[in-house]
Amino acid sequence: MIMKRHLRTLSINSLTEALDIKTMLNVANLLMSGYDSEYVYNRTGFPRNMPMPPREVARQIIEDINSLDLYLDFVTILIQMQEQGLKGRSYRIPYLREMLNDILEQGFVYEPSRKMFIEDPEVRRTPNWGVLKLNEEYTISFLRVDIVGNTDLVRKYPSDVIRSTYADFKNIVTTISEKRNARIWNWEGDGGLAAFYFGSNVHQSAVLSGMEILHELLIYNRLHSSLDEALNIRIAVHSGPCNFFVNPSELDRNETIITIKDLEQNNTETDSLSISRTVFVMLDPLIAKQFTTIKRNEKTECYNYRIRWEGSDR
Amino acid sequence: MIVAVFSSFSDIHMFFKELEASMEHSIYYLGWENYEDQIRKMPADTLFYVDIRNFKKDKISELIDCFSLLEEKNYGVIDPDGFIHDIGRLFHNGAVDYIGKNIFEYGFSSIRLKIVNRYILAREYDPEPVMEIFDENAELSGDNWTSVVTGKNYTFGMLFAEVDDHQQWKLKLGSEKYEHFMRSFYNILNSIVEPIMGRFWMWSDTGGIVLFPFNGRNCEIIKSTFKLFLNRHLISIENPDFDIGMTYHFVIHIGETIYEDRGFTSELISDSVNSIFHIGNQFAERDSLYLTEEAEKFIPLRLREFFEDQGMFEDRHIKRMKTVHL
Repeated sequence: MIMKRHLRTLSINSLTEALDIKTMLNVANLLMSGYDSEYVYNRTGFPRNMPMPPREVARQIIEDINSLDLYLDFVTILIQMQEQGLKGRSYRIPYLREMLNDILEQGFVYEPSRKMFIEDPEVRRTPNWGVLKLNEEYTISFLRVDIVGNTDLVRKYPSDVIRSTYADFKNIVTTISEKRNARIWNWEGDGGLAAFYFGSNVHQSAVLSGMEILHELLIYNRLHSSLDEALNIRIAVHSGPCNFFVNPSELDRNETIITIKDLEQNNTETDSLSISRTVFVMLDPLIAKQFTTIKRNEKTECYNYRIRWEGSDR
Repeated sequence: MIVAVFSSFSDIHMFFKELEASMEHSIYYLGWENYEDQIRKMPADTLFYVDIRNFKKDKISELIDCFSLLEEKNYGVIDPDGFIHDIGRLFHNGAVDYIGKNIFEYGFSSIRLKIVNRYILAREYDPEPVMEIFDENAELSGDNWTSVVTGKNYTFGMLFAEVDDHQQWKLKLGSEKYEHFMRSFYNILNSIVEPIMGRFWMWSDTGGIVLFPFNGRNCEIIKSTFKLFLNRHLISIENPDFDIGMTYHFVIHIGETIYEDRGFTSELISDSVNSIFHIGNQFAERDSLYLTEEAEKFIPLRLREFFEDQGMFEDRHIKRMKTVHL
């Protein structure tokens, strides 16, 4: 995030008015390991036989935070200091409201469950929410969707009908997932992968999205589809560790992605949603009871949801 | 495709001989005894043909009953004697095919069946036909609210919405928490009625009535509430004020009333408003969506199988949306 001049001044004032030099260095050390007075003397060139003025220390810290692009992490620490204190002491941070307003204006919002800033979905939506770092590992909930019988559909219908139908389907998946602050990480014409990372229960958010996609598709098939038949899909949800990659081919080698692919292709019936046990145990009981248990293999089980109407067996 | 024919004339077999020989299609000849049951028993996508010669002029009331039953089905009319004068009107009332004298002599081909089938599919995406069911004294309220003025009689779409077991919840939660909860209920409802110009009209601490402008052609609230009931558990779970297991019941009706602004309705007398309150309070079961016979005609054709008859209440047929097994 770009730190404008007035924001730098505001941050320097905030540090100087709220904290002594020792605490300032403690805060800096949380962001930049090994940050101490020795380092500040070296950086500023200030004579070592003179005590460093607090404002000078604050100025150097903010300059380093800015150059390493750590401003959002810095404000996150200030928020936690004001809310919970630091090392048993409570602090009131001046100008915090003004700093937050500025961050908001630049398109970031505070995400309390992860205690970090993420991009404001109303302003922009990037695959890493503006904060995930390339090649770093995160625990993510994934939702994978796939159109069943894609090859036959493509052969049977004119390309413009297929194009508009698949675009409608992508729109359904994207709208429903992004409503829960997910990001589409990969889309390949007849299906894709959505990632859920922010929110109070991302496992449940992915599952609710999957259920809602099935409901929405029922209405789409009945009222809006241009096909003579229903568009059928399979959905799977699984959570696990995954590095953030920009290239989708790198995703394919990840163990969590391999598992969700297998779950979707081999353990999910048409027009249903299968979820792994990792996800199932995180669900609210009201949602969990909508799922039936299915044996995945000798050792593991998965859980399945489909729309079951009163008076019908399926 | 399944074709079912109501006819007691022997030349009908000659007419359908190509279809009878077909491996691709099935044809059934039905008798007139218990024709209501026979219509109901056939699969939903059956194409019915009614041989109009069965009726002649003395059985006109039976004919009307038969057509009203077929309104939800796909049906064609066989009329070799030219009994029907206004053929267009048949199509206005939902028919998908008409067999006049010349066609009857030529025979029914499988190509014709394909064309009829294509017409059925195309028609399903068109707006529903205008139904002539409304009181002549009440104007249609229209596509929006611009022409609606207070003190005049209009036909509106009406939604009755009420939380289940409200007395118990009031006691259990206390008045402050209950009020908070009702605000959430209002917000959930508002999110579906606002985009389709619904106006909260009568509202109390348990629910009330939302009015919609009605143009005589479509009733969007049916689709919106259908979606809401499909997603009702998801909505409850994701709404932090609502995830305590509270449920609600809705009734949709199309009827007439004098329009008065919200807050000035206490002296209003309206049969429709009375009826929807009665259905909501005395007939509706918890966690359910009901439609009166006036509203039921506007259920999109391909969603009709998800609604089932609940019998009569105060001289009105009532339908209920089937529940999703949860």
